[in-house]
Amino acid sequence: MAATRRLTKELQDLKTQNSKGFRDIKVDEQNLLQWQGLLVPEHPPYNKGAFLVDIVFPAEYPFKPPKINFRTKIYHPNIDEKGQVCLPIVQADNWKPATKTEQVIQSLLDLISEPEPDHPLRADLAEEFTKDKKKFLKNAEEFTKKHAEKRPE
Amino acid sequence: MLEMQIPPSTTVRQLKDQLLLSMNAGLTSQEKDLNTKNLAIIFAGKALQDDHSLQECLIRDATILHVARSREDSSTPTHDTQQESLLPGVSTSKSDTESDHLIVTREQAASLQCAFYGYCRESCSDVTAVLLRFACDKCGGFVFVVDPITELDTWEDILDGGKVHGVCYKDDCDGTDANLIFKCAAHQSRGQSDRMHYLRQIKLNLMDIACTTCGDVKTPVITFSCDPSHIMCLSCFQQYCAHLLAERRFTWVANLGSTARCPFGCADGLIVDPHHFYVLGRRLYENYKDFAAEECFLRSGGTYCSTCGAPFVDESSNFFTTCPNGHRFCRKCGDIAHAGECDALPPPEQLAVSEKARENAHSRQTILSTTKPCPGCAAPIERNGGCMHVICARCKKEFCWICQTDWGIDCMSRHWFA
Repeated sequence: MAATRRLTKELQDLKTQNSKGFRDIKVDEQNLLQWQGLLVPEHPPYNKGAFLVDIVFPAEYPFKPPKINFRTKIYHPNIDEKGQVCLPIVQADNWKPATKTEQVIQSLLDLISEPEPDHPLRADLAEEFTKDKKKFLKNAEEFTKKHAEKRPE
Repeated sequence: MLEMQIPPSTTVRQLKDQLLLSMNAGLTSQEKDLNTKNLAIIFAGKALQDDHSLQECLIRDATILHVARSREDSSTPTHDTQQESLLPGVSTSKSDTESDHLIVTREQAASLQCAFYGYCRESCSDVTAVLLRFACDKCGGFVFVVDPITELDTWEDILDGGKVHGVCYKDDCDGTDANLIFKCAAHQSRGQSDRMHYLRQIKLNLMDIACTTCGDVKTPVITFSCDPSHIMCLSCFQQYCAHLLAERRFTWVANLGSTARCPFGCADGLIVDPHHFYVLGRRLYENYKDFAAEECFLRSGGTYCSTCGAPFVDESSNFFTTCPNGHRFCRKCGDIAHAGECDALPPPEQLAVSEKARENAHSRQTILSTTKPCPGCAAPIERNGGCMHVICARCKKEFCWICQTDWGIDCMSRHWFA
């Protein structure tokens, strides 16, 4: 199956690279289609914690994109209360079979550090981000300290 | 011209021996050895190696081989072999080359075997190596010796139907033109009409490049038309096309139709000959053809009846139209004539209308309750997550899911922030 062969390679590559932004990748060996990892953003206000993220690959991967879901609560205009995220690179229309998970993760880290208020999943946070950025940053930092996972050493 | 009947397991060396015997039975054993060394058997522009069998060199029925002696021997070549190589990227072997240049390595021989591929629909139902034959334009026979190719500069010219000249050796035929034709190398030929379509985007993976999709190194591969020539292995390409078909995600290109784009999304990376979709297999290829034909019909202004599905063209700009079977319906929403002007949003490109004709009432109800029509083409769209910025998979229209108008910053202030 194309999905398993490709994911085995991608997983190996990611583990070798040892990325600072995405760590502790956990994959059930029986089911390579379900990954979990710890997203460790570098920029404020999210650099006060880390975020558990599920990456679920469809059986048709890489012809269909993976789905990304936040397990840890996050105060972000593009991620809703259920942990769903609107990431253009994994949208059905933009998806390219040659896109690597590494690029998807990078794109996710970029979205975290630079929210896109024009494509919000949480309109209230997008409004706050646009109209009162100072207040948004303060709230997001407090929220991160309270709800996010502990950052690895 | 010498006709010979040889079993396919014969090696090139054995063939040379036989040739020498029939050419000059009176040679001494010392002379014979010398002559075999200086003799080259040339096929498709390359000298064949002595320890290969004819089968390994893909030599089948009605094949014309050229025999040449190298310059060390004073005698003249038995046939004119001063002919440019037909294989792209393979150097020319001329009869006056030094003998050690004529020897090809086994790797080169392998590339000679598989430089051209096609999809065999007649017998193998698979991508197979292609045999190239010149067939006489007059009688269709393969016993044709071509003249040195001079007027046709490139390989592409010949592939695109350029004629080559020569002499047909079939009895009673005085043909002087020949066409290049392709036959499957994997099954025994079933005669002159057993031909196949050469697929020029399937190539040998000489550089051992990994498939862009699964990462495996395989050969042969599909090459896309983009500048870096991105590749995909055949099994990924098969799955990719099946996926594009199931999701109606083929790329529409003017003058080309519905085709597949490079896995990296390169703008110029396409499959430029839709015959490559033969790899989908017979049933799915038929589906592809139906899809491509329907897409082409709709894009050139055609309409499908919302009741019976009959295709027709109505160039008027009226709201209501009537199909050849007398069904009258609204062109905007596809419903049978309602009172007054249609209050459906913008004019559809008719896709939704044709879909409606195919679905039964129950499915229609479900589709109606789970989808919203695209404001661009009226295709029913289901939103299964993500933000309110929706892009139609069919016409690429970007719109706001809430108000179903063009996507823009206005929607944000109007109804995103309550």
